[in-house]
Amino acid sequence: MSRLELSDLHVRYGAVAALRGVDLVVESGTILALIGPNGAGKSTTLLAMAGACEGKVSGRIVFNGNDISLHSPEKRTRAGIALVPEGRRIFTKLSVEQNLTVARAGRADRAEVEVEEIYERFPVLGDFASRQAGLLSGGQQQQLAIGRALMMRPTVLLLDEPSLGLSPKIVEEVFQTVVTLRDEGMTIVLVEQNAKRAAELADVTYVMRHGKLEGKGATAVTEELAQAFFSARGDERTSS
Amino acid sequence: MTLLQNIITGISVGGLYSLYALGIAVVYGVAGIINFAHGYFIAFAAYVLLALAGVPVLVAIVCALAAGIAIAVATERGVFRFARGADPGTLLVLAFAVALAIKSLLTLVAGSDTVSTSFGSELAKPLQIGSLSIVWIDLVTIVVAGVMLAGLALLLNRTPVGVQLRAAAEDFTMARLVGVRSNRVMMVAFAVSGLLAGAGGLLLVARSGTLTPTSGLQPVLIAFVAVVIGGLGSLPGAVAGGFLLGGTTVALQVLLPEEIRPYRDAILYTLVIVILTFRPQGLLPSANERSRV
Ligand SMILES: Nc1ncnc2c1ncn2[C@@H]1O[C@H](COP(=O)(O)OP(=O)(O)OP(=O)(O)O)[C@@H](O)[C@H]1O
Ligand SMILES: [Mg+2]
Repeated sequence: MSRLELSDLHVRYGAVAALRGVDLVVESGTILALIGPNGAGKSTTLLAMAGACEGKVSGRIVFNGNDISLHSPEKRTRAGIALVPEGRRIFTKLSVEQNLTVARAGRADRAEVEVEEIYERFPVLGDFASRQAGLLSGGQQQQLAIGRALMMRPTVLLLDEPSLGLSPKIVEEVFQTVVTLRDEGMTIVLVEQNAKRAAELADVTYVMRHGKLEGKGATAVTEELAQAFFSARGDERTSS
Repeated sequence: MTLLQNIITGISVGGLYSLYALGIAVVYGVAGIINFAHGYFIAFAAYVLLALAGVPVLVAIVCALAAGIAIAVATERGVFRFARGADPGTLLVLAFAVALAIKSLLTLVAGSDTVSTSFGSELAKPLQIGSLSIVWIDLVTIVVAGVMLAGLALLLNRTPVGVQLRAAAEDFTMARLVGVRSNRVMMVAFAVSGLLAGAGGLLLVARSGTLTPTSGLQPVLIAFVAVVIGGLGSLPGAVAGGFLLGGTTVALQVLLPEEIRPYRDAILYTLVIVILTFRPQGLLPSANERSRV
């Protein structure tokens, strides 16, 4: 089981209130999609869950019944929460394999997770195991970022815009991976600009705006999409 | 044969400078601290060596290296750990404070006078190979620098903690997010810099035969310049910068006419300014610099 619960979460970056009272429950074994316009606070929400938010966080974050609000990122990682951050943030100067093995530090049980498992899921990583990670293509880097998170054998996977900058074909592969992981029992929080596709995959979808959750489920998403369409945000990022 | 001799001296001085530079770079890379106190780590280790005059020299050397590690680690645990994530200005001021503290300690215990030592005096003799005459200390410096650089390369590339350290140097927060323990990786970075300071301190006294509490200042200035030339935050850059600076120093010393030689350093640092005007990011800059939490 891996239930993650936020209650009355607030985050401030100096004068900017990025989250203004977020209540959210992520149920075990489901995909929760979080969509909304730029600057809504989606990444901030994931960073706060992972313990790596640069802002001032208040409120409660409860994981499997334990209050983890004050835990360090490395401790939360070992508890089973893994973040695939916005922009991937792979270690560009390490080899592909080192990017995976370094994440062994995040295993609670210290058991060897074999990189082979990751290579089975993402064969291209196996082909380029000794290549410097910064030389990979965008899609390969995204696979590496997900593979790196999986090395920690998380029970909750937080994905921040995994489709960003990828070709439609690769995006579909990434989404398929997300569904597969859910089917294997993982709990997933998916932040996406690609709102329509995210809502299709997800078990539950929330719309975030101005640091608050504005709606839940199909109706809210439809409204969000309609608004996106009519206000023509000119957001180049939704098209990928 | 003088050309070969000069090349050997250049490599030796370059190797020494790259040890100094790496000590600064490894801490800057992981902790974001421009550690001005590094020069006093060097002096501290050297004083420990001198204090152990009379004990077997190998034992004294090991103790001096351990002292370098100990003072660096103690500085991390006792000072910088409490300022983690502070802005660079605060960290720099703290580094100055640590530098002054160690300097005062050394002055208090050992006095501010120059002390001389016979450590390494037998290495001042030349080794004659045919017409080639190489000073022993140059050979020893090259071997020590080579061993340290190779050992560090192995540590960083082949051991889990080394890979963690490189990951943390590239993106500290992300490293924590994959489970890297921040305290441990900081400690390792400081320990490595302390070991480098110890080795640098030993070579320093072996070369000069004298020591004062401020003996580490010149090395640390050299280290800063080498690190900036190489590209702040890049370890290979620090090594390259060290060798470039050391090699150029020796080349100028040899090539400049006698009457201009006193201006060697002025010319050297003019070259440095020229390099940084055209490549402000340094020669081998690190790929990206992320903020640290
Ligand atoms: N490190 C930071 N320092 C200061 N302000 C920040 C920081 N990170 C985010 N913000 C601000 O907080 C607000 C929420 O940002 P956040 O990145 O969470 O939004 P988002 O929903 O992920 O947006 P996007 O779709 O663009 O990724 C924005 O106003 C942003 O400018
Ligand atoms: Mg975002």
